[in-house]
Amino acid sequence: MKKVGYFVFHALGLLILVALATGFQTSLWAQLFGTLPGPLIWILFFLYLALYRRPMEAIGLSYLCAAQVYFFGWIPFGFLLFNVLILYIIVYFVKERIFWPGHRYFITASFLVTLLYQLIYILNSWLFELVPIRDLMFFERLFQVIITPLFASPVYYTLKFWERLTHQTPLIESGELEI
Amino acid sequence: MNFTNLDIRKILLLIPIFSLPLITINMQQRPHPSEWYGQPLALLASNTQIIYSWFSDEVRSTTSLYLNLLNIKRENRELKAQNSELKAQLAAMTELKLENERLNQLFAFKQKNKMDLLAAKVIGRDLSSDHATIMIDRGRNDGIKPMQAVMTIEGAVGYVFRVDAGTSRIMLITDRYSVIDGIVQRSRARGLVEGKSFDACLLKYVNKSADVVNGDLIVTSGLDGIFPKGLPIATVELVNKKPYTVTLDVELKPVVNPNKVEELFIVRNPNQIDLEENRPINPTSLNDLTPISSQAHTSGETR
Repeated sequence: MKKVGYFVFHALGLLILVALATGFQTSLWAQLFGTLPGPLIWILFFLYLALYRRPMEAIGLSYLCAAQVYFFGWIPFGFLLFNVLILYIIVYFVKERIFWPGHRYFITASFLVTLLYQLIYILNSWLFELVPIRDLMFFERLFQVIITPLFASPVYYTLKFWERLTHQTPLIESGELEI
Repeated sequence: MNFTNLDIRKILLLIPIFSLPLITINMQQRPHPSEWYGQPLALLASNTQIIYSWFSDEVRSTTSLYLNLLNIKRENRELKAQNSELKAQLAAMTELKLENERLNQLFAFKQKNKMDLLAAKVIGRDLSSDHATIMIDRGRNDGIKPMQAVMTIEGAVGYVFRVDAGTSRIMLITDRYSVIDGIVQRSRARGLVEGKSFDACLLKYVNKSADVVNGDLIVTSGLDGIFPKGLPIATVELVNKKPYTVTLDVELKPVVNPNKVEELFIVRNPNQIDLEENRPINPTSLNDLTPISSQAHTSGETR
């Protein structure tokens, strides 16, 4: 029972952290830097969950975080979940083959995942959206791919700290995956 | 137990995981107030944006005060500290004066028109650069409803599509899902204004024989029931006549850069307003009144 309580507390805290990170991008960044594209910090949360949590936990928590992220923009909810799921599957298979413990892996992965997210988004938009993307906005996307990994370290250590505080046991950082 | 070796238990687990996005993947989003189950998350999102907005306002005012102080010190090293403080205050007052002038303009505009307008402040942008939406500090508690027009003194900005208790999300005219009914002010040729990228729109479904030239002003037709008639939307940047099509490709530049808007109005009575009441009548304009396919889209609706 205590374990479930800790998990619920952990999930609620995660929601607040996601809200703070997304709010930073959509509100504070936008007001300080105007139209300069903001870092996609919320993607780092999905990446962390995909890398360091058991698959069922990771997907459940990712969907929960996606529900929070949905309220900061216009992306259709199902479309967001679909993108997150595809991202998870790719990260899962890459992690099985290439993995090393530590925050450097997380930073490297954050760069690749941001790039991957942009590609998945464009592809899914062309495949599924009624009005697909009309402007690729290459430089905006490139800027986001470059700037997002700068926030990887703080996110990594914050989430590690939050896991310790809420008695969550992450996967042993060896690439071993269990349900 | 490897996740890739499938057995019946894993398959049963995977079914809901995969089916949830597919069940909810509905692109036919319509403007709506938030559902009850989303209220806590919407509230958290709204409050986070409000807090960040307040924080950035404070940071900006403090920074500008600090920068002003530095400038004054550089220019007036010999002046006493009291003078420096006074000048900093003067700089702050200038900022306030400018803001006051801007608000006075908004107020005068509101007074001059018969429109029932509600002023609001932008507190957040969209998390994805692929969508052009903003969040404002007015919501259901202020009487905001979905599909109300949003504008500035210069022209149309967008329309309300999601309403929460204290905040609302606005779809900007530059979002690719945004559609407004528009007419060329000079020739009265009709078409649909759709978003293209973060600073451009398209005028679609305009008859190929319609009179549209660079520099023409596109205004709202008022037929969508969202925007008052005659509100400027955009100017024509490029008219492209392709040989094997029946419509024109017209690229537009919005009269208001929606990405730089800080304060705006929500229109609560669009149907009773015609901003073109005193416009001189152009006799040649009667030729281009019918669009090629006005049924092709539902004007002003989010697809």
